[in-house]
Amino acid sequence: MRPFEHIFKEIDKDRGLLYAWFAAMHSRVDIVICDKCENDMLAVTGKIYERIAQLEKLANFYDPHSELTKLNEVPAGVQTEVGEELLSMLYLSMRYNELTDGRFDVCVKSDGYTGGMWGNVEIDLEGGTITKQRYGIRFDLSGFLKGYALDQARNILTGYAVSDVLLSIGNSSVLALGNHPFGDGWRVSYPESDDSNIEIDLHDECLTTSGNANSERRHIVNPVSGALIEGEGRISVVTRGGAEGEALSTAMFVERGAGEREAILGRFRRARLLDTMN
Amino acid sequence: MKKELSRRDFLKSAGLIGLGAGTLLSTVPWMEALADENTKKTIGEKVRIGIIGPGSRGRFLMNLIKKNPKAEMVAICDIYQPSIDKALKIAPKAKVYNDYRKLLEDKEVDAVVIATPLYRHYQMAMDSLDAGKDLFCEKSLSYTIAQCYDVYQKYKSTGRIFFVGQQRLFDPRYLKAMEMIHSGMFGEIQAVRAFWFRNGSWRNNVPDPSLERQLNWRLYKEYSRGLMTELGGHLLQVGTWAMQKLPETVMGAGGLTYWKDGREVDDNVSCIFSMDDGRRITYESVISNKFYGLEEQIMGNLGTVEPEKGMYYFEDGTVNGVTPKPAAGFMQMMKDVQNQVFEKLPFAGTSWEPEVAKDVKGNYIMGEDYKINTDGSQELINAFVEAVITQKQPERIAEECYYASAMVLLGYDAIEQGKKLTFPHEYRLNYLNHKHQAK
Repeated sequence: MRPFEHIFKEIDKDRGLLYAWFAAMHSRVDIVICDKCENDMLAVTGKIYERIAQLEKLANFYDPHSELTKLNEVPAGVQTEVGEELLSMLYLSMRYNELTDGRFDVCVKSDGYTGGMWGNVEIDLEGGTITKQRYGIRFDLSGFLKGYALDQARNILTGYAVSDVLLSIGNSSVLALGNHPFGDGWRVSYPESDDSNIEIDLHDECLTTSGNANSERRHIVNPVSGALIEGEGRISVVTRGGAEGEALSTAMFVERGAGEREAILGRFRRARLLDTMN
Repeated sequence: MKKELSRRDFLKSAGLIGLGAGTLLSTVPWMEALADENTKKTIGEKVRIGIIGPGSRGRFLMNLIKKNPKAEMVAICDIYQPSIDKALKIAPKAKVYNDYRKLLEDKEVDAVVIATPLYRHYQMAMDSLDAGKDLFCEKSLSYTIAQCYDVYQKYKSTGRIFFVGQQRLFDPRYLKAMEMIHSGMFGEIQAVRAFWFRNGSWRNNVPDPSLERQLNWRLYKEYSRGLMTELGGHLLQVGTWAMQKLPETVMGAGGLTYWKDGREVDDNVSCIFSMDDGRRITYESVISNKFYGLEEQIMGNLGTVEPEKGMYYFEDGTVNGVTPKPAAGFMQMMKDVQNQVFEKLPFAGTSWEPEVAKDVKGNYIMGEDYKINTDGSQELINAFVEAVITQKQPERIAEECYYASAMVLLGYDAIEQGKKLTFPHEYRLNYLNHKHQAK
């Protein structure tokens, strides 16, 4: 039995469209693939499902058995061997922290968070180790993992030579590759305000949204103030990759100054900020 | 279309059909007694049962025994004639005793069912085991935790069959729910919130005031431990069954807040049982409000089970880890493509929000069409009969039953003393996380 639900529709004698959906990362995943063979599309969807499950197992902040949790529990000053993938995710997170002037920070859930936590973290890429030099540093990759998963899914799709795909993880992290069966790229819409939507065509790129869906649902911490960002609001960015989309959209939601935003945006090649509720 | 649960369905739901007795779920080894391959071997056998205390609960059990072709009721014992008369309508050939000790001397009685007021259980149970009778005792097992321990030790030393009336151990909803829980579907169980709320006096009509304490024994401390022993044992046993862990401590509070009619036991009780790792089981009972009814809310980090309701829920609103419904926007796109239309997909935005509790409809433990036709009582009796015939005590059932009673009595003591009590080491069994230490 497959771990996901799916629907298949034949478009013409050469092509079909598969829509599959499943739960992962405390959210839902929706994937549409246009290709020749239904079985191949199911196989690649299965691989994506497995990869996402693997990432969740590795880096779930809330899973007491994840490698990330085990790293978070290591006391300060202990050089710890970390698997290649987790090391890579943390290194990328650190780089995005620099590129966003600290507005994207996976350390915000550290004890006594003050910003600048990365200055107390030593990552040895060659040795495969991490050393936290300060008490209470914890990494929470929840705001990064979906985008990273999109990038991993893209690698799988490329490996299978599947070129026309729309993949959404939780609606907020979207990868669009190739074309809709009857269009150029993929056309999606997102809310501009309570009563109007904005349409955008995506061409081999990612659409990432950060924000509070309503005033009650606050979940993004402002690394500058250390407080949860209040109020309804959202911001979307289009980037080449998913992981950078997560970092940039969070940074744009946190940073409200136009000049600062522009400076950060300029460091992400081909990135676009969409004018959304903020 | 509603479907009845046949015996075969029941066994199937418990994983017993198509399995050898040795492949039973490790957490429900007592179900082995009802495995097809075992029950077939006992066809034609007959157990002779004596009923001590055929009051309303006793007669309920008699009606279940009557349905089992491998059992016959050969004797009854009571001191209240109306109960005897009613019992004889169920078992007309049964010999009548007014002294349970005489019934125990009857060589034609293989096993006894004790359904008397709580304060009588201890001596009757001890005497029954000493007399070489197999024992089915209604819950709670005894009036004090020390007495429960004595009975358990007597069972061990005599080697007789020993059951207590914990029917949830055989309730298909609970068996299925536990299978799911123990498979890790709901993550680690963090807490169990158990409650039993009713709105009624809990009082029997008494034909003569002189019979008040005899017929309404549940209301008087001399005979009963009130809502703890009469209702709590079922729920607390479910809690530890789910967690596979026994508590270290208990705190409690209670009061007589509404039914101030001369009774002595509380009509409003609450207890918190804590494990050594901080996880908890809470039990509450109030009998002046029934709005929330009866439930054990078993809460894991991934989901919640409500076995009484027959439902389970995932924290992310999914069924078996799969999102139950396709997204509307994507479904629209599938239709558009069939019409060769290139349209937008209206789905992007902030993170998809899982359903919150008030919106979650939940999933059915036994399937949507399942109709409850057993609470496990019949199967509990059947398992007892099989055990008496084979003289094979099902694993873990005595221990589960012992702890169900011991916990409610410890909770009662905590309420009465107004203290946080540690489960006495001398009354612990070597079971699950508990280790016995002599005083």
